[in-house]
Amino acid sequence: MTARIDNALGSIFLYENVLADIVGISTIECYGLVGMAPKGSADGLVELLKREHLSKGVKVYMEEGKLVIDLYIVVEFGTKISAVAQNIIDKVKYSVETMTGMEVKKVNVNVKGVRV
Amino acid sequence: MNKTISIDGSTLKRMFINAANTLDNNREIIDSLNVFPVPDGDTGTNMSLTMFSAVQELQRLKKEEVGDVVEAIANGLLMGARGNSGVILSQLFRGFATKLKNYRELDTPAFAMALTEGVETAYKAVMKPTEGTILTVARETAQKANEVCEKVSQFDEFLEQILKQSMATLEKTPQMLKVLAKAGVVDAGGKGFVYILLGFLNAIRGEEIVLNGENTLKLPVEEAVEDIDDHSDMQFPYCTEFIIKNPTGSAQQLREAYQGLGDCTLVVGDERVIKVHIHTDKPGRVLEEGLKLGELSRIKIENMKEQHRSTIESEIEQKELGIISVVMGDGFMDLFRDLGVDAIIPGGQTMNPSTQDIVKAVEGLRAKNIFILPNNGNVILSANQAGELTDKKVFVVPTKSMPQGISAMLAFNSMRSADDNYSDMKKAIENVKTGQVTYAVRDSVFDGIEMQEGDIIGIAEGKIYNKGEDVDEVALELVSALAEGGGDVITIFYGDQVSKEQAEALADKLGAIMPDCEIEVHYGGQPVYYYLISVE
Repeated sequence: MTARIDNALGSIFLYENVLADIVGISTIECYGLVGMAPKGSADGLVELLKREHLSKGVKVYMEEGKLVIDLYIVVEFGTKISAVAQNIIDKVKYSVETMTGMEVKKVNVNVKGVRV
Repeated sequence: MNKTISIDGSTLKRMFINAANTLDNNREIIDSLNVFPVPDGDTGTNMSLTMFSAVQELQRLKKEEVGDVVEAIANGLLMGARGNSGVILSQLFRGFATKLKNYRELDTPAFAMALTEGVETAYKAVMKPTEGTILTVARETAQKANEVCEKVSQFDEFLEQILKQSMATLEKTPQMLKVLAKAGVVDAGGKGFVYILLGFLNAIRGEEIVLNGENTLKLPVEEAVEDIDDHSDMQFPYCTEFIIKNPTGSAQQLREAYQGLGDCTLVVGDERVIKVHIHTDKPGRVLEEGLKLGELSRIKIENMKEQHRSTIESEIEQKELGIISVVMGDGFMDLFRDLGVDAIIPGGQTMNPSTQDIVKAVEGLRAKNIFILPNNGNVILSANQAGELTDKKVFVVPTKSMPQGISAMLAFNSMRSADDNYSDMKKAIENVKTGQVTYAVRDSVFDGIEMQEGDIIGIAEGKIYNKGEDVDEVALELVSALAEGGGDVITIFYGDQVSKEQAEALADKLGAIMPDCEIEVHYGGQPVYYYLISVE
């Protein structure tokens, strides 16, 4: 997927990996999140992604001209997962919207694991 | 002196409840500091709600051993965690609790150790800790606690020292985190942490903090900053809040009804009351949905775009000179406004504004130097007091009447310096003599004159001069007396009980007696006084 922003002078193309990096970097600042998990991994088998591969836990696509972001994350045991996820949604939506100027329709958080 | 060197479970419980109350009492201050990531201003509310979830848990406790208390705190915080700061808080106390499970009593080293463990636990739960937040404040506080715990065994001194450290670190947060510096605030979560320590300390000192009560130790209040971003494209500009009493449905039901209506939605409550906070573009719909569940109370709708704009304005417009005047009567208000007064405080003879009213007006005025025209002998004192209570430079021009205030305004020149204006204005009022025409409210003897209820009386320079039955007669006599020592401009301000025709008729009569004088007539609209007359 490539996001496209048009103006009178030309077009801006944002590639999926760029958006995924933005998302990945802003998520790791979120409190309670301790890692990203690869989106394709089979259930029950979660490996923590290294920093440089963070974007593997992010999926970005368009719906009705707006961005939809799926996240696959691992959280710290003992945190309130709903609150942590809510914070991540707020933070990601804010960062992506301010940095790209595109509207984020949804952020779906998939908790793939807890770290004890 | 308080000599607490160890704390047991019930003391710890008391400390924690105190901390929650202290935090809640200062919730709005903390809310006003929020800038990140979405400048919504709810950190204080989130932290407070998180703390109270733990307080509820504590109140359910049957045993009050240290282990039970810390476990209740940790569980309560976990379940009630809200927002980033709430989650961090819950982690801090989760770590705090793990180390203390088997203690019966805590001394300062144990407290320091638990705090350190709390900080470690809190840091573990984030990949990339942001410095300049509550995490930093908690960490440096724990370090300080470790440094001093061996030497200081008394809890009040111990807590005092670590509280000081936390405040010092809090002050440094803007240097560590750019968004804070940009907004000119300290970190909101960190501030919340400071309040928690403050609550602990007060509990040890034996002071009980009740909700919404006055705080014993006042922390410096930061300036409220709404926002650092451009809000012109804000999607949900109306911050809508209200309470539903005796709701017929659940908070959950309402939350579902609000899906898609806005963001920052907060719907909490129980069978007795539901509290709603939402940012929306359809405040009407939000209220409608609430009404379905019952009676609404404490409704508040604010346009955040507007708030934002006024914040911007306040940064830009800081005038050199500003004027505040205490005025009574709609005509006088217009006159003072036309003459360039920036703010008017309604009040006068029968209704003296308080020092607080004046301070508020001074604080609200965006000017560096502020002149106050009290326009009443009784108000001068409050104005002077107000001048001492504010950081702004305040000049009180001692005007004793509204006509004097008008003369002072005429002498004012916005192009000149504050000091020059002050001396000009003071000089201008020296030449003004004021007469007032009113009626006696009861039988009395004043300044050697015997009056009966309903008599018309003339007052010259604050002293009763004459009395009579006819308003015009009394006024004429009074003006003649005032003009005796010289004066060539006579201004008549007529009150709300007098018609324009009556006032002009009086002016004509005056003109006949004193042909050399220039006579002006203005509508003052003041109550009680038929005429206020100035001679200069």
